Amino acid sequence: MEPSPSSNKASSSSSSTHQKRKHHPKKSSSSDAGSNLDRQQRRELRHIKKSLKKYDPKSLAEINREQQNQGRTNTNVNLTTASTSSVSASSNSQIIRSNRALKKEHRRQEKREKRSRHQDNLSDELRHYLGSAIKNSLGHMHDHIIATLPTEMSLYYQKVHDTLVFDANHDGNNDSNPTSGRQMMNEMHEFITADVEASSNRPSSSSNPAQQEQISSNVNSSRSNYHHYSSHNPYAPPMHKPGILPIKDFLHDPFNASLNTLNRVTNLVRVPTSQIYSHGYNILNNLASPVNVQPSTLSTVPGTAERIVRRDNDDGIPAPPPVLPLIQCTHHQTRLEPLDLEEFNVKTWTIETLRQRVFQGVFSEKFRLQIWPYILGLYDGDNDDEDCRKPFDWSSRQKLFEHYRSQWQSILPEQEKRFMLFREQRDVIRCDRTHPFYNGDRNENLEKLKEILLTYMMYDFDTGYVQGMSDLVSPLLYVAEGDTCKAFWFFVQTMEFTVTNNESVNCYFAFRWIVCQFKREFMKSNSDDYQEVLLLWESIWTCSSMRKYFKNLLRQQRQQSAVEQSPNSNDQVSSTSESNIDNSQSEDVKNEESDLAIKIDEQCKIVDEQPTESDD
Amino acid sequence: MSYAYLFKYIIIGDTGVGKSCLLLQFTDKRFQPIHDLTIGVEFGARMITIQNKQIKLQIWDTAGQETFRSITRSYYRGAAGALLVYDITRRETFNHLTTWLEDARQHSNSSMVIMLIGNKCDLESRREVRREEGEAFAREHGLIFMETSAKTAANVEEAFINTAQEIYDKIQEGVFDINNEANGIKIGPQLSPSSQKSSSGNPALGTGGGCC
Repeated sequence: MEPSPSSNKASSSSSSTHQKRKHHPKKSSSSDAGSNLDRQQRRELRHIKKSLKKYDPKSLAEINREQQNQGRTNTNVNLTTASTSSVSASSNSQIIRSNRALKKEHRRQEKREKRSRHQDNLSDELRHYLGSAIKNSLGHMHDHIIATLPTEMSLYYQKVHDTLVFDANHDGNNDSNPTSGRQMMNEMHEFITADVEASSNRPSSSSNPAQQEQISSNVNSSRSNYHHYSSHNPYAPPMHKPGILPIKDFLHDPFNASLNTLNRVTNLVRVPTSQIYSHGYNILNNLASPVNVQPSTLSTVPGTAERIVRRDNDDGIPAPPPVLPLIQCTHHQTRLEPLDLEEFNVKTWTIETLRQRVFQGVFSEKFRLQIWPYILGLYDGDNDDEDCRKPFDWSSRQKLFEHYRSQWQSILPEQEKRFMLFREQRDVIRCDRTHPFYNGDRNENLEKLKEILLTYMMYDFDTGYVQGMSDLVSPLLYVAEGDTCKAFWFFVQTMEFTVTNNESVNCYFAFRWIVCQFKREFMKSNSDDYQEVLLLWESIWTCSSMRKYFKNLLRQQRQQSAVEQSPNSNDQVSSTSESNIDNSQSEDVKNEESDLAIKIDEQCKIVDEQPTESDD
Repeated sequence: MSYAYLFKYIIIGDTGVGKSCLLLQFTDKRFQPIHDLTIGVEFGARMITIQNKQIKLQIWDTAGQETFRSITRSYYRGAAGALLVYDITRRETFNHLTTWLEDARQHSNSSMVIMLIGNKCDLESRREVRREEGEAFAREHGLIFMETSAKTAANVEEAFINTAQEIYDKIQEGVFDINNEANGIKIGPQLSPSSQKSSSGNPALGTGGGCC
């Protein structure tokens, strides 16, 4: 931007074309150009203004109003001043030629702009003018955001803003801090300028008068802070880089274009955390709403969250939050129908196939008690292909259980006094008392619960009793239909999944989830139903069996890829270069496969090692 | 919603002394005789008024069992007040106070206000710890003392509010560094310095960094 001697005075009167005419001849008479030139300049200026007004008179008026207020203090480029200086620098013939062009329709004028150097100058001025316009509206928007957002959000926004301002002021230091505001500013700048192409295709839309009023009233309210933001506003595109503003967009519809741009800024604000997001969602949605853009024509900027656009259907229903991408599973899983008694009886089940089947579909009927000993790993025979339809032999387990039980039953009251953990069995009373199975003051099932916990204390001295165990036992006892021996052994097996969760101490927020295996969380909605908890637990117990499942899957994949590659290998004979490519491709496939195999093995190791660790 | 200060409390003490019940009585004004035992830590919050200032109490209710002690310890830091609870009908819970206090002093900031609470004072017939004993212990260790009943709600409000009063006084005396959040005190958004500047008419939305 060339500094103009007339800039100060001209900018002070920029809002009025009428005033402009009065001032202008005096100024330019001192320059080399003659009165002819002045007249042409004036006509040209009038035309530019006219053409701008034609596209959005309201916003132009608003921008002018703002500029009038800002004109004396800020460094924004002023359209009239700028064009005056540049025009006087141009040659006579160019002006005459361009003057003719200006009289034509806007679109044709645009085409000619490309050809004419003078028009290039003009579009530069326009660029600067619109740059300052967006700068202003962003400044207001900044105030608006600060004023409307909930506290946490506005603080975050402010933080980002401050970092940007700081960094803009300490330009040289940006190397020391790679993730600094400078970088963010660049990012933001890219956001703002990314889709010049796409936005030009966007159908221009009528601006919302109500929103305009709101914003222009906001202009007044935030005036005191205004100068600060406009002079430091990091969201305004840098002026020295020509050709980066979506000019066409602004020519079509300056007001909406700047709002569009702002939406990208709000994207940056919104993305970081879901918490902030949930608070600010409604407000941001309102901020985005004045843009009446059809979602189908929206251009998406890669790497950003999907923009929220509320369509102007105005039936008062807030737009749904953007859909987050689903977590991708490494292997596609199809949930099977729950295993029912009929299916169970017709097939032969080994422990592994049964566990896989349970993992994929759980049960539909109440024959858990029959299957649980197998899927929980209570079967300790040598034959892994044991038919699970055979009823489990409890006799040895029963003996062992009675042995442990007798140990605590023989504890003397005097011993008990010094056995703090033992006395803590009172906690049993504070568990699932709303469930029908444990309801009532002298419920025998509560006694059974105590019995199981005390027996476990004898079974595993080191772990002893930990609060929360009763949460784990209660559903098991319910499934075991009050059989303490069965419930106890189920519990012993279940504990192997939890004992290794020692590191969960570090996950404070999730501690209860892990310790109680989500039992409390899944009981909350329905305090007398264990079904959801059991469904979850069965899946947890059986997930280790997915190792074989994955291996089978891998084998299938290999076979498939081998079949696919075989026709290729026949063609390879003709061309050596092709075969090279094919070889490298198949190697890639192999590498991928082995990577996958290693990954699965690692996963399986972790799963497998857990029980053995706890045995130590 | 808006508050002048936020105080963070922690409730500690042996298992079954009534920590969760005290919290429930204070936050919900109800007593639940059958209460699922606390695993890890749970939360409660209530707004109170001290010297015409709205103060939000954020209360962390911990599990009493020794096994969870390592978790409880990590919550001491960043607490402005602690309620150390024992059960007047079980002497052992009183005997364990020293251990609890040592733990608290060791893992918290030095200016944390600790209130000693003898709970279940409605069960006078089963009392094992005399009131004087509790008072003596409190005097000896520089604690505030109170006997409460979560069941009848006796002294429950007072216990929480007196502790807050004490913290508030300490703030006024400058004992607490309110800008250090590790002390368990947060300045509410309405106190942030830039609120006067904001001309948008919403005083709660300051731009100052005092509260974050």
